Amino acid sequence: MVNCPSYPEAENPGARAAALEEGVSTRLLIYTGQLIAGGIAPRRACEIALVHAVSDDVTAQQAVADIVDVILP
Amino acid sequence: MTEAAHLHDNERALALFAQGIGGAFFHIKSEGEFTGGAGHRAGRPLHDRGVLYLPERIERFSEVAHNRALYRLIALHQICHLEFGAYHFDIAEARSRCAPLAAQPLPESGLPESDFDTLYRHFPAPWLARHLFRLLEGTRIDARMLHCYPGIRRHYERIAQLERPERRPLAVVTDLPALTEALLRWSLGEAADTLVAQDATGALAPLIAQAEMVRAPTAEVKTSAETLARCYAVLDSLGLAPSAAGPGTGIEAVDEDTTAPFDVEPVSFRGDPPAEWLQREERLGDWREQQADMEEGQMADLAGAAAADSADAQQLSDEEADAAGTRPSAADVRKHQTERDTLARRISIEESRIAQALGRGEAHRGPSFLYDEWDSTRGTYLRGWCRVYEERALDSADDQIQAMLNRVAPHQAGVRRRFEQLKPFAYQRIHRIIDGEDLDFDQLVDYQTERKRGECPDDRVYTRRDRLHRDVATAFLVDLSASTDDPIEPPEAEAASADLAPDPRSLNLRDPFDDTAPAPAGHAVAKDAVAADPGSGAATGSDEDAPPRRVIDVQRESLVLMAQALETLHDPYAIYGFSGYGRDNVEFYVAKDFRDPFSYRTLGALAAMKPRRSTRMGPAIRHSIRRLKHAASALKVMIVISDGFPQDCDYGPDRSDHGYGVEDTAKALVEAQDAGIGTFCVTVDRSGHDYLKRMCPDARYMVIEDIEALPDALSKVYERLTGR
Repeated sequence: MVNCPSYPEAENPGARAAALEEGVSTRLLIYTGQLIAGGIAPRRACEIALVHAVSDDVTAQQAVADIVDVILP
Repeated sequence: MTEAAHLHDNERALALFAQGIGGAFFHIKSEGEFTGGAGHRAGRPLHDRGVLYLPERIERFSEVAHNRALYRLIALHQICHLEFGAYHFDIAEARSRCAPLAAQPLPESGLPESDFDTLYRHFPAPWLARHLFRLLEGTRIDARMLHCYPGIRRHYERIAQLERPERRPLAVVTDLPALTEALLRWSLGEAADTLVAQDATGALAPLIAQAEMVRAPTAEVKTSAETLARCYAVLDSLGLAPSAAGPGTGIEAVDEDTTAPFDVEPVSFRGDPPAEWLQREERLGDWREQQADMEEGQMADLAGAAAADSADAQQLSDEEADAAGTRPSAADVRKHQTERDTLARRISIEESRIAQALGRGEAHRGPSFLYDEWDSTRGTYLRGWCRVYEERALDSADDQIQAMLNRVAPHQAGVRRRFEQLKPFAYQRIHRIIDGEDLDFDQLVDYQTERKRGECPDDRVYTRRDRLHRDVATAFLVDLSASTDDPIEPPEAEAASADLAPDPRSLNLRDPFDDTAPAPAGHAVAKDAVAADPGSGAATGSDEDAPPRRVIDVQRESLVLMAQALETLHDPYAIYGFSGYGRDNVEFYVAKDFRDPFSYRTLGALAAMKPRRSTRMGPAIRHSIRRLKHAASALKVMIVISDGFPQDCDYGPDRSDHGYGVEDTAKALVEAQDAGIGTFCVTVDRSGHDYLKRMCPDARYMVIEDIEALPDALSKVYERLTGR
């Protein structure tokens, strides 16, 4: 993740609230890791335990899925 | 048949994607919205601080999913410039690392320029250096992106495969344009062997060998600069680099591609970021640090002078004090002051140059959102037509807050009492009761089980739904247009009756903010504090010198009363203001959001609500719908408070015709209803019936003749909308 300290938006509560406000909790990350350790393919594990769990908002889910898509090989 | 992906359909997902990758909010705008010069040619993606400029639509592939993936690739490539330090470049450091650069004198153009421009001037043909450097940097960014984000590779390879055949044909490489094209094809993944086999100049193989350096996972921007020097040396040694006397060797050659003898066809997804200007901005950060250091030095000077004065007071001689190093000389102080002032001027000039080159308008600190607009003249939506900037309202000075509180204090109790009488709303199922509308089957099973066992069963096997608590979320959307700065004109008839009957009690009935009303115990009105607020002078007034009360004053005071009353109900509520100028600049101020507690900061934000510009109501309502959708309440209500019809500089084809804005607002209100949000419009415009009846049903609006009745009206509206 880029560290952009010079960008004031990063500190703006409105900006945070507008976007991925809930974030991905450690708990979800652990679940994802457990699924992967259990033999589920990483993309599928992320889809189940991160993408669908992070928000009810379809657009936010899509964005998280897109992030997963570019990060995982 | 291809299915295009449109930017306005993907704007939110791309903004979230960019935020997730970049760790900061990025406005997503179309390439056409870039208004800067900066040597940028239209139709290419680019980025600025916090903004990604992307194509309006993409239809390179037949599948829309692939076109969406291309949006992500373009956005990621732009963000990677920031992530991988594309503008963190210092010419002095580059010269210290690279012998061919250091061997030449530092070029002086006599003009303010970026360190990249200075780098290009190290070579006889700066335009060629610029071409090569951009090609190498594009390659480096691609390589690092593919290394850090391996999932993007399949999308990258798909577009690279599509891109290569679309480029100009390359038969035999015999000259410099063909050579740069071959190098670019190599950077897109074409096999080096194939390209070298086409090369008749003998330069391509050594060029590729040098350029491999920028594909290293740790390559930095200075690696690209170093590689540029090596590649240029290769060209020079083979007589392929243009001479110093050739075209495009002057200052303009660096700034304008058009003066170069040939152009390099760009790679569509790499775009054309204004690297030189962004590097200048990055350098500004260093200058600001230098300025901060100077200011610290000046403080040290002052401290030294103070220490010397103290020494004087202790009867020490100047020589002794100076010898102790405590008193800076006057000449030093003047010199530091001059240096600091010069640097401050330099920073200011550079800031305005950068802002102009990059077409930066007003600085918006919050995120932005695109919304459709209803075009009533054509009976269709204009997709992604309006951009709403969301900002947090600022705080106010303590005296302004106190003055506002003093104005509302006498009326708090009355409004609060009215709200306390509101009935609870939400239903809650009650279990384990002896009678009710339904059987509770779990309890019934337990009952039968216990009975069969011969135990004494619990016979509370019924359930019923009770109204137990309220479940209402309300958004107040306040018009902050310039007209709210108008002074309040009391209704003529009432003003006349006031003259005839100067009894304070009759005035109190008409004016809930009348300062002549006896304040409840504990709420003494501080007249001085009231007078201190420029906007809160009493129109009813005892103080004739005080400025007249304005529409905005009554609006914000009404909201304070509402907020205080709603706190007693524990109903979630939000207070937003809106204004703006033009479809690209709708301003949406968040004074209080649903999750915010009511605090002194809320009061500060309310007091900071000021008259601004126009009234583009449609996008503000649509943004409120978005905010309300996130509120987890059964009943959602939006109350729009305005002082006139919707109006903006480009709200419809004819500025004097308000029908377009009225129709768009009406459509936005229908969208709210469709989203399950109850709406109500309150206007203090006496001619409001003319347009409100076109915007919403009769039961959904209210025209207030006397603006001072606004708090009372709001209470009634809220009660009517949520009370049952």
